[in-house]
Amino acid sequence: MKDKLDYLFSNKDSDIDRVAEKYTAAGNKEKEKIYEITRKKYNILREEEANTSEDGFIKEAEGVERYSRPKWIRFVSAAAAAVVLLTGVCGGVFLTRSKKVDRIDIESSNPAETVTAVEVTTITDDGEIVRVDMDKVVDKLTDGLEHIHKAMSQEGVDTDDSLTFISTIDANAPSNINYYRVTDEKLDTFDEYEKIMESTYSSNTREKYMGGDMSEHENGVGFNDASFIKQNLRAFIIYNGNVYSEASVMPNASYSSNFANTFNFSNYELVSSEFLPNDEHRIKGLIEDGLLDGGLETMTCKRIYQRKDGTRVRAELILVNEDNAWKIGSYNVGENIEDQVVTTAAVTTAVVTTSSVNANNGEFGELQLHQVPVFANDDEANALLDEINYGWMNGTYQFKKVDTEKYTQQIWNAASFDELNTLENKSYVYHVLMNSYRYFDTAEVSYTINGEDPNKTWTTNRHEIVDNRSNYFRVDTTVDTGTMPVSNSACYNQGILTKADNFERTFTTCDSSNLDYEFNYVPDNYRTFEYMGSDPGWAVICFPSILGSIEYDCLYTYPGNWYIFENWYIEGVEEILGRQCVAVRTEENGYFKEMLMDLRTGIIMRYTEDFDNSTEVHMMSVNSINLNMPVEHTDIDLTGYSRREE
Amino acid sequence: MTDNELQHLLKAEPEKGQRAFYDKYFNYVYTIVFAKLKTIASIEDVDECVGDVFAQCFIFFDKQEVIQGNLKAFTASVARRKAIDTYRRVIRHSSNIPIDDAGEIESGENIAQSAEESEMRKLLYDKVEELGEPDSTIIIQKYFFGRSSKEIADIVQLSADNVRARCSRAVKRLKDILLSAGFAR
Repeated sequence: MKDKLDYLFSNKDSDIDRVAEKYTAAGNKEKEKIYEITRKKYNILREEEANTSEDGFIKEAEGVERYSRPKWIRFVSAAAAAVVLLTGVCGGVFLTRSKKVDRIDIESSNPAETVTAVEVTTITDDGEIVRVDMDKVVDKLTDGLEHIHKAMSQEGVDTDDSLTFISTIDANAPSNINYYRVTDEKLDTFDEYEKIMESTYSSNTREKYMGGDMSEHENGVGFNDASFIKQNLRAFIIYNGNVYSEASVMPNASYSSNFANTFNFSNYELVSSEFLPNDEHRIKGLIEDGLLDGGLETMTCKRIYQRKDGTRVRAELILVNEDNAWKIGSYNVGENIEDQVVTTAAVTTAVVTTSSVNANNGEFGELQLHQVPVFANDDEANALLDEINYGWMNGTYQFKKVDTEKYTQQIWNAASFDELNTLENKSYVYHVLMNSYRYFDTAEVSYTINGEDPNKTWTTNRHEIVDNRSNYFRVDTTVDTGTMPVSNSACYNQGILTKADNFERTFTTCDSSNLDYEFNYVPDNYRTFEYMGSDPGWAVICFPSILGSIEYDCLYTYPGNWYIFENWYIEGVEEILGRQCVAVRTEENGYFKEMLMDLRTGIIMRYTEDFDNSTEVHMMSVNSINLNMPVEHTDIDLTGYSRREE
Repeated sequence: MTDNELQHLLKAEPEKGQRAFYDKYFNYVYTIVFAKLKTIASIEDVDECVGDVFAQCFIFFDKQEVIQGNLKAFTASVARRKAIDTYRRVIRHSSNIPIDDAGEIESGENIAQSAEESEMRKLLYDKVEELGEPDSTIIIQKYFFGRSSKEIADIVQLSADNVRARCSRAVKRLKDILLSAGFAR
């Protein structure tokens, strides 16, 4: 059993500081070894720096072999970058995507405005004591917020007046950073822009949005200095005296979570405004992340607005007092989850693990085009994570099969690389791969994995019988290493996961009846997201737990980092055992994987995986497969087995 | 050496300054990187990542005419970013991610629990310090860094058997101290 002390010694920042300050981290031998590594890396970096001119462009590098990816990746990478761009700035906006919110009839609901008035006393620099009506302060701040977000949306810009700068940090995959000229009347001159940013945002938050004056640079020029790009090409830039905002939306495209639906406060009715006790944990986190300065006075305000279509919008603001002026330090705006709880009892009827999961009632679901939510800070990411967890646990997200026939034929008949690798086709492949559980009912499959590394070869054989609609999964595995044979079985049946070692004749069981991501649907674009602010966070992956612990080679291949679309592409198509398959491939830094996936079910029929330039290679191939036939649910026969203590 | 002196040395005698910087911040960088990667990466990955951090810092110093600012905060920031890069690289090579590593972003429901744990951890570290050396180092090496007795032996200059014996006694003492301090878990 894991020692409780293990659990308590965590990797929290406060612990790290304390351990680093008082204890030796590594022995002298390791320390000197790392110093040697450092010098080598430093010399390589210096050489690279020497080959880069002052304007940030790569000089002609003589005698240095540069890794060059095939040309087609350039296209895919640029397209993927454009997709990420869509979600880059408006973290708050993204919070509401795919939300199902009951519409309230505004004529009949007559929302009563409840405002909790709060006055605070402030001593000015002159020693004068003044009382500040915080609700009026929040009115002013939300007005500023509205104009700032309007200037980042289609409503507040002229999409015909645009600028493009190119990030060439990855010379093989340059990405465009596009800007539109701001036309919103409160932000269209530099003075107005500076004034509204300063009066609305705290200095740290402002820092994230305000970029540089790019007038000296030609429209269309490229930069490969990451630090320059980070400092200058932010959400807003100045160009020839005009204000431009980063294009976070495509011109003329329609987005459900647009400005009109989220930040357009002056067009909504204020339902309530209250000041809540500060969430100290959250504020501490913001301070640790550099989003708030420590030692400043803070307040939390929560407002509920109602749109004309009846949908309620929540705005949570953390206010910070900087030099006797209240500013927004952090905010979270989106359609109101709490309303959803109250008004959408019907939504909480979770669709779980029954055949109704796949019942389409004659209609197909809409394929979600791939986007990865990227957040400026973990505060915004946390808000979305809470929302996703809520939706996941309550079965809010409804699944409908997309039209597999349409996409199978579309991919099967694609005539060129570009036609194969459209965002729609890749989104479909990703969707089916991620949701294979939902695209077949039962399966009996046998497959072999041949593995080899410089020292040995081995063969793994698996036989699997699964019934997705009843949540029955049985996997029997034998591994022949030439020395010590391995045989084990795993069976998940009626909420109990049993694992048995057939040679040692031991077994373990655990109650895993909790819902998992496989069983309650979470939309593809919510399965993975990142935040990139001053302290970038991990990708958060709602990965399978039960299925992932017993099967991930064939029937339920969770695509992991394939959420980064630029990392993989569709190679072509092939028929295997009568199934129409698509070949997809990823390779990066010596790692390589090619998979052939059944287009209609997401089942992997064959793969080759090379972990590190041929030092370890796995080749998997399905030998037989039967789909959607009745299967028997048989538990592992544990006669003569003893329970193994973990 | 103060940060001011170090900043000056880094410009006046870069190689000497780099070594001094490395000596001063090695512990800090290693601990940050190790803590972020310990559940998923190998020691070799950690070593490489620490090397990346320092190489990046050195290059940064080279580019500055005058080195200013808080060196510790800067170093921590580079270390965290590099650790994240390494984490991503490692998970890309692994189809299965341990459940404990699902992410550092926690749901809001755990806030009260986190606050309680935070207090417990503070108490724990206080009590580990009370053990005195070399026992406190042995405990930290075993439970924070997850090192074997043999590896710890190299650090505290004792035999592995001696480390094992001291560790066992130290854990018992620590548990007694924690219990008497009202530590119920």
